[in-house]
Amino acid sequence: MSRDVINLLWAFVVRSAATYASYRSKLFLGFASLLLSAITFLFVGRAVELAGSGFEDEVGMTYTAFALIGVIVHGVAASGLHAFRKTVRREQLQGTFEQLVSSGRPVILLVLLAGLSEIIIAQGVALGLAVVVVGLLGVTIPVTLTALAAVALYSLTMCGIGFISAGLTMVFKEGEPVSWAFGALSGLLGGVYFPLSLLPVWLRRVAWMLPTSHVLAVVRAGFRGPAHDVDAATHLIFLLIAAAVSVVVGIVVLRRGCDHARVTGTLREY
Amino acid sequence: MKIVEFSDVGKQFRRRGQRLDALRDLSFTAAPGEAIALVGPNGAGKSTALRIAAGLLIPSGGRAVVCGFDVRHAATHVRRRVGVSLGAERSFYVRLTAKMNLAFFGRLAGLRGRELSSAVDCVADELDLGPWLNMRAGRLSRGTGARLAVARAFLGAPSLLLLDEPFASLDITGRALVCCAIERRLRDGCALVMATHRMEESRFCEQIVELPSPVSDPISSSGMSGQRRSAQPSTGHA
Repeated sequence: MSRDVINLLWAFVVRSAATYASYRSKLFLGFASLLLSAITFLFVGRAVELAGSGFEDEVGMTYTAFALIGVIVHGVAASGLHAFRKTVRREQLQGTFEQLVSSGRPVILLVLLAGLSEIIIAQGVALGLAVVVVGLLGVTIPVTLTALAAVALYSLTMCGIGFISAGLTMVFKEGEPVSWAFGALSGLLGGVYFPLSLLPVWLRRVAWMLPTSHVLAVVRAGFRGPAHDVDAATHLIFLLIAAAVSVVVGIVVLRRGCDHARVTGTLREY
Repeated sequence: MKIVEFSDVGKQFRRRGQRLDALRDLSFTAAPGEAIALVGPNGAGKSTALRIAAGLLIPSGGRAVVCGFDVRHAATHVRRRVGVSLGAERSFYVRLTAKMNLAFFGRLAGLRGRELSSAVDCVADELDLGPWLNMRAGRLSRGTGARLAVARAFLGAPSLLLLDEPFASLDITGRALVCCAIERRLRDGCALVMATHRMEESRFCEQIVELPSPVSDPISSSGMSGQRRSAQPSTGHA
């Protein structure tokens, strides 16, 4: 990464951090929400264990660990899904997007850096707190190279879909459907909250078309150990293809979206 | 060499099946150090012309070339060479201070380190923004916000300044400061295209391009003739 890009990323991070810090009550409520979610999972997990459903025997881990892995991996990586769209829309509405574009920097770079800075600030803080909470709950998540690679590819895929979403936001404004559809489907069918084996067979086929299912399969396999090993290579290849396709399509859609805004005069919208 | 060349530039928007002419057949050129005022009433297309020159809008017809680059095909190159102020209101991060805004946009313009801080201090001094630098942009008065917008346009030493109503909301002192700052840049070879609806604000401009009043009957997309504007803009009379 060139010094110029790092300098620009720093400018965006400082901007986002200062803006974020200026909304003190929002910051506090964000922390509180995350903490409450984690505690909810703790008690849901205990309830599942009390019910004696045999979850641990079947899946190879407690429900608390299962759900926490799902929520953390999906939540942190999926922030890329919404960050770019939200950034573009907010900048359009506050009139700064046009000013950003007029700087002469490529629009792709501007949207990437603006979105990344939001992710770094918002999710960085949330991730730090999540690590503390996970520690308090006594759940340790082993980090393997395979799991890291899977999460990295998944994050890249989400960024690509985030680009598509940002490009479509320039055309459809608030009614952009991609991030909504992808977020909702991933939550429902990606194996975030429950094992895919609970789904009907035909829905499982759909679920395995989502990158969320693959990344969670790899990360949870690392947690369960060699006895529950999965074919990591297959999952990684799927994630690699998904990342490559979504990033390329995302760049094209974002460019088209920007060109559309330059034709219709909607780089800023009040 | 010309910094700006507009040849029969027009812009049409489609809104709910109707075609609206925002700008029609505008032609002018500006050389380094030359200032041009686009003068006309509200809705005449002045801001549209500035946005086209800044590479922020794609013209529907004609050809617009800035610093040797066609705005249609090489907009990024165009934008690197222009400083724009397209209305002070709602173009800043309102939760950040005036100084943080200038520093942020200065970094985008390619400045960093001491070069950045000295450029920010320089434009702030020039436009007497010192007392307000640590105030949030959202709390600035309109006049101070207008001066801040002009200061931002100066960052990065652009070859062309595009200023939309730069004297709006300014008191006499503010106008004098902005005038002096603009004239200094013109002497350094920077060109200026400025939009205003008041002829007296264009006193230092070599060319005044009058844009006619819009007419109020938008035409349908069925290709019927008739335009928002009834006459063509006059070009280049001092």
